[in-house]
Amino acid sequence: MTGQTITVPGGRLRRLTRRHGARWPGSLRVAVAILSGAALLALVGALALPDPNHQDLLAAFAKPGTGGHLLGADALGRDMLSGIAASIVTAAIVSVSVVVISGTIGVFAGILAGYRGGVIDAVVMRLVDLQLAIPPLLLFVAGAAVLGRDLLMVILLLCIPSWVPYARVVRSRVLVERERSSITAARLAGSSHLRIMRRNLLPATVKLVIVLGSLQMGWILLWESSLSFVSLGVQPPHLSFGVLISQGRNSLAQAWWVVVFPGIVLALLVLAANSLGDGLRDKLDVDAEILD
Amino acid sequence: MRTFVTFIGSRLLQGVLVVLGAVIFGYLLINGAGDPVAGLATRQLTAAQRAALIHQYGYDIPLVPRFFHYFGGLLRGDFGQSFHSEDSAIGLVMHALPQTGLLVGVAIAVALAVAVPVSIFSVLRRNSRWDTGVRQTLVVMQGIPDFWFALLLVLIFSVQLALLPSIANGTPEAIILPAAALSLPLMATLVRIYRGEMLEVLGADFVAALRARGLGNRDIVVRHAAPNALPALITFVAVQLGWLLGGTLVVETIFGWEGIGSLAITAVQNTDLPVLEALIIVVAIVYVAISLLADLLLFALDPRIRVPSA
Repeated sequence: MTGQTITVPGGRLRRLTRRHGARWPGSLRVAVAILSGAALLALVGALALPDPNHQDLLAAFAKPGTGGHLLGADALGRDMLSGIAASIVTAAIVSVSVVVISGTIGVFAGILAGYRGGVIDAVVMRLVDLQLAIPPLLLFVAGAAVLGRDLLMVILLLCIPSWVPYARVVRSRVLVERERSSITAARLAGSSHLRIMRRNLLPATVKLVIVLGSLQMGWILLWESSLSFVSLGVQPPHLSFGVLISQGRNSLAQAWWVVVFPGIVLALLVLAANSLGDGLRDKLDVDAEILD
Repeated sequence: MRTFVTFIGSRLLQGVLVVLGAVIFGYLLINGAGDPVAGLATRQLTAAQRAALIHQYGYDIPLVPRFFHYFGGLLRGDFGQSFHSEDSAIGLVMHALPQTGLLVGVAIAVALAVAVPVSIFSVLRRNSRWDTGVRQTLVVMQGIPDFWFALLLVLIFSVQLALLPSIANGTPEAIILPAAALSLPLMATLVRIYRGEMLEVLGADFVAALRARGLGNRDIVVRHAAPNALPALITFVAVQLGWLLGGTLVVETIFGWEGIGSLAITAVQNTDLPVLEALIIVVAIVYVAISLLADLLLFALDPRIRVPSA
């Protein structure tokens, strides 16, 4: 059904060329370019750049490009480029972990709820409703107050609301899939429920989950940095974009670069995650509406 | 009338359940883990002092009876005393609430005032260079972190140009920068939703009928698609409000705006448990009230939902 509707002008052309694997959507190319640039910077940072927490008061507020600081240095002479490289690593750890953990939980809950129905379905859907009713802001704030504030806690807290979209989307897909005659056939051939869930239903949701996961990554990046910015997330000496920008906040008047550069890199990363989601949605032919 | 009563009745019931859920959830989260007196102690305590403090605040009563005691207090409007100020927990929250309401209200109004005309224009000229430009700008705008944008605004308008205050100082201009910082990401989302919904409406049969009657593109978009896509926008704003409020956490901190966000951060830093609990409950009530209000608005605006089974 979704494969045939063409809403984008030039969509048919793209569809035909894609079959030959010739052309990638522009958004995918943007995403890949930014992400490989970021990965390269993180690698260089780990191997060749100075320690991001190394203080050098002689280099305090070094302007970008001076004294070996390509992007300048902050109030304590810490190199901004190293800080950004370390923040990329944190951002990658947090976003990938949250997507993997919450994706696994959400897909599992969604398949189980959609396929078995009944009590399991009711319980999962009420949990989903509850999640949607609690503003995430309060969840994160209260969670940070009670559970503490470090990298692991940030990941766990972000997982609490993040599994919900997977569960909803996967459940509604499974509700459709389980009516197929192939499922009945598998059942008649003696497949167990577990095998059907693993071999028939799970593969049917893979594309959806991939697109959802990449769209969610941008959102996670923004939340992680916001929480770290207000000191509810990653704590120094561990670095994150939020930590960097909050450290630079007080010297905004003297040194614009300590705030501007980390923000630009963060915005580019979020842009890359969103473009990756959009591009994969086009390329994998996933129905856009189901994700909204 | 009958549909109206059942509709509102079921919504109210759902709302009460959600608030009750938030009360229990907040209570468990805050009382089930952590050290209750960590926020009270200003210095190292001896074991005896600690025990006395725990007893004084009733944290030695088991979880379940304590909940009923707490819940009884809530019904009388008693949310407990803040650990860190002379005020009651609920007093602090109610003091902060209008501040956040004002800020978010202005931000939403600004975002709507920009997003609605931009979306309509974009749909009128759909697939033109202008429309593509709008869509690409939106993709970039959605990636901009609001706290960073807020700092950029401070850098440009307060530090460089010295035009606007960077901190809430009681003057009316002080709201301009925080509201702008909050409304930017919102604007991007609103245009995306409204534009998409209008294009959806344009694909409906009645639009084909209008075209057959000879109506121009402009009339169809402005007089038919725009109003018909409005309910989706209202629903979106109401449902997403909790997520939209997330930005207030950082924006209020940056501009020293004494609203819910700042209060929440202070409460976390001081482990001020009664204030945190009161925050969770009050925000859940506001949240439910707003979605109820949006439902009423939809009911008034959109005759389609008044028809049962439609």
